[in-house]
Amino acid sequence: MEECEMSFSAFTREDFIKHVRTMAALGLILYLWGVATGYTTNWVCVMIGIGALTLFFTDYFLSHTRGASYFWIFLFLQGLSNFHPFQFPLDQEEWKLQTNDIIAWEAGGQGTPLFPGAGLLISLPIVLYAGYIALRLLRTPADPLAKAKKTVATKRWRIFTQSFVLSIYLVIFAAGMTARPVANPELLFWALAMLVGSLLLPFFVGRWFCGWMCPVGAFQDGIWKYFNFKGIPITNKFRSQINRIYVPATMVLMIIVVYTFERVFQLASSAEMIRSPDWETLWKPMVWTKVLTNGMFLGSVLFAYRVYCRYFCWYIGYRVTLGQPALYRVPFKTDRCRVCPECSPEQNCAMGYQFQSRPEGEEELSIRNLGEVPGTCTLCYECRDNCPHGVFRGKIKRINVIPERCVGCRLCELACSGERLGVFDPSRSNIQIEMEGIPEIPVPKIKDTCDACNGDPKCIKVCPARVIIWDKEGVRKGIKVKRPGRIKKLVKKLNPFAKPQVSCDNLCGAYPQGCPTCEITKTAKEEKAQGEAA
Amino acid sequence: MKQVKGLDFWVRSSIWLELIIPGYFFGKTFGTSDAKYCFLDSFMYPKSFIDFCGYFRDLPVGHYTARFLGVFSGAILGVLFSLCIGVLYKWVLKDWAYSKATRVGSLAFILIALMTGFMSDMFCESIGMGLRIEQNVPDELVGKFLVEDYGSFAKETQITEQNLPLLSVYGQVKAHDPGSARRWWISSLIFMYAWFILYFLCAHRMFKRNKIPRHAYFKLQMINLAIVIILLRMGFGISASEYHYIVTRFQYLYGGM
Repeated sequence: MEECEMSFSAFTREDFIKHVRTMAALGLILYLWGVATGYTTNWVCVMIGIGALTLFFTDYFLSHTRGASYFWIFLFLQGLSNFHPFQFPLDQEEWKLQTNDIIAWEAGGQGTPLFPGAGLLISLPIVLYAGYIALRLLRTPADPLAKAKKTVATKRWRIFTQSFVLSIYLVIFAAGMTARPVANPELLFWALAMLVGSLLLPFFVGRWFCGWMCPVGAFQDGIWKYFNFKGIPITNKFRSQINRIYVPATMVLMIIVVYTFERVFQLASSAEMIRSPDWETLWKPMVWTKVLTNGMFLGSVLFAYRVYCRYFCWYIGYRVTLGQPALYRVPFKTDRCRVCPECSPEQNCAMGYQFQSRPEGEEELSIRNLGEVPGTCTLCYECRDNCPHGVFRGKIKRINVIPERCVGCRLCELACSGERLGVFDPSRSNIQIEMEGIPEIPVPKIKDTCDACNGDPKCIKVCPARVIIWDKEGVRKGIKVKRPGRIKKLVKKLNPFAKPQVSCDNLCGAYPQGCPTCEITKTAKEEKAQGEAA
Repeated sequence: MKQVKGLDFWVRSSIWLELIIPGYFFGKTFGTSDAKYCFLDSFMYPKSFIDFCGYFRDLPVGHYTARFLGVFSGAILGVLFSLCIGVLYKWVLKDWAYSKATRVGSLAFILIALMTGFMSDMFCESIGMGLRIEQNVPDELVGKFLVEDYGSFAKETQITEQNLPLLSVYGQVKAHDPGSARRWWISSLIFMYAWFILYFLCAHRMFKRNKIPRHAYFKLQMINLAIVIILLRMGFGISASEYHYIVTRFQYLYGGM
């Protein structure tokens, strides 16, 4: 365990990440140790999943610390009560029956864990550590800054799906490796990944499976990214080839040939291969393709975050080739891109795309030219979450202003800073009221950084003069003022119980089109009369 | 705008890599159609293609090597097919390089290639294999039963003592009820031809993505339509039994339980 002071004070952000990261690493070690000795508990799988989820959702959990602590309390209780999840058969005959006589009795089915008591000894400190994190989270107040940082819905769903599938996969893999390999659960998982994720879905959504469901990807996204591991460096030359898959495509060609060498369904699960290797038939190509599949985890360890998924995973050979004519890809609205000096989507892109550049040899098919991301995109929506200008959205909601209506009350400035920053600081607001001209008149100006509060702008709600309006693609929309129709007016006049009309004698100037409250409207007749008088 | 210097030579070469994969998907089926399943496959693929691959497959070089040669010769046929599509595309897209036009045509074709070549190979072969292993039925019955009777219900399936257990292998299809059999057949066909609609939609996206000029768009889609019609006339359809097989037998195959 890292040298961390055992205080029970509130978490800072850095502390929180450090502890969860340590926890996830310990969980991984425990998991691998358990798989090797045939003694992995369910809660370890769930713990790694929750660790990944927390690292993904740092902002969310920091803004909901009480809820997060319940997560860890659940893990703590689960851990205390769950040291023997996989029941080993007691006798050799039953073991044979369960394993279909595939796995040798000596290798794993001896009825007892290989190291009795070691599981408890190693697991208990980690379980207590989970309890410690839960206690500290209970003492941590919610962070308003983290709360203010919202994530796009698509990304939220992705993170949830990834964490869920990662836990399920770890359980499946552990089950296959420890006690119940006969059902080939891990093989079923990868067969589904192949058929649904590689042969069907790419025609609709490209590499959606990689970004949303692949356990190898989730492992890297949730844990590896936060270790900031660089791995084998990738040069700019290779980074520029955003749409090409040299290694995976070659492997696909090779593997198809290999597959058709043998019968299609003569597959072996990892558990079968490891526990009971058939040395006589090990030369068979099918075995090596299986080694390749399981080698993905090892492969991903050699490289930095998602580098393996960019260039080497052989599954993407299918997914990218089949995904070339995909019906959907994340859009890139070139006209909205303002070529910021520090492009946040570029810095956060899992595939390392350079949105502001044109790769040599592919100028025509560059992202800026095509208006959408390449076929290698995993649809992780980090770009959409990070771009303040809505470049990666199909339709965006922007706000705009009608300056003539502004009365200079500055409520919008207060609402904007209050909503985003948690403090009333008009100088840091995304909308600024500037006084211009002689005599000075208030002119509202919206900064480039305004993201319309992710579709729920507070300034629109507080503006009394309806200066701020929704705007679609920069085309100004008029306001529909709800005025009562003729019949309603007549009913209102006749109704003795109607509320008395508020009237003011002076036009305030805020509503050139007519005040919605006072119903003072300059009729065409009046305007004509004024014009004649003038 | 930044200009990133990359692997320009490899970019050009990878165009050919993308061209080969769909062709390979499409053609390798003929190679896997060995003597046991030749009868079954001949309902779906041209006999001449199967015979061509069969020549290599039957060379006396050992089982695996012969199988590889058969697959490889089929793949060459598939790639040649892609190159032929490329010729038509190049003919329409006059000012395009042949390699680029062929890449677009080949990738637009990949959905059909996958369906006819890869899935058909996998499921068709496995149907026969599954039946053979479990039921020990004679070869001729496998083909006749699947393609003529079970596959389409065109000749009204006759339930006999012999084929009843075979039908039960395929799940809960009420083959003894002509009404439900007909409904199942129609829905299978709808599902099957939905893939063709998807093919045209995917081709549309492919054309948009590769900036196909407006005047060529309609002509290229007509070429795609012609390809589909030719394929169907040649017998490149997927039998409905294959789709049914995916639904009912999937769990059994992969779950192993």
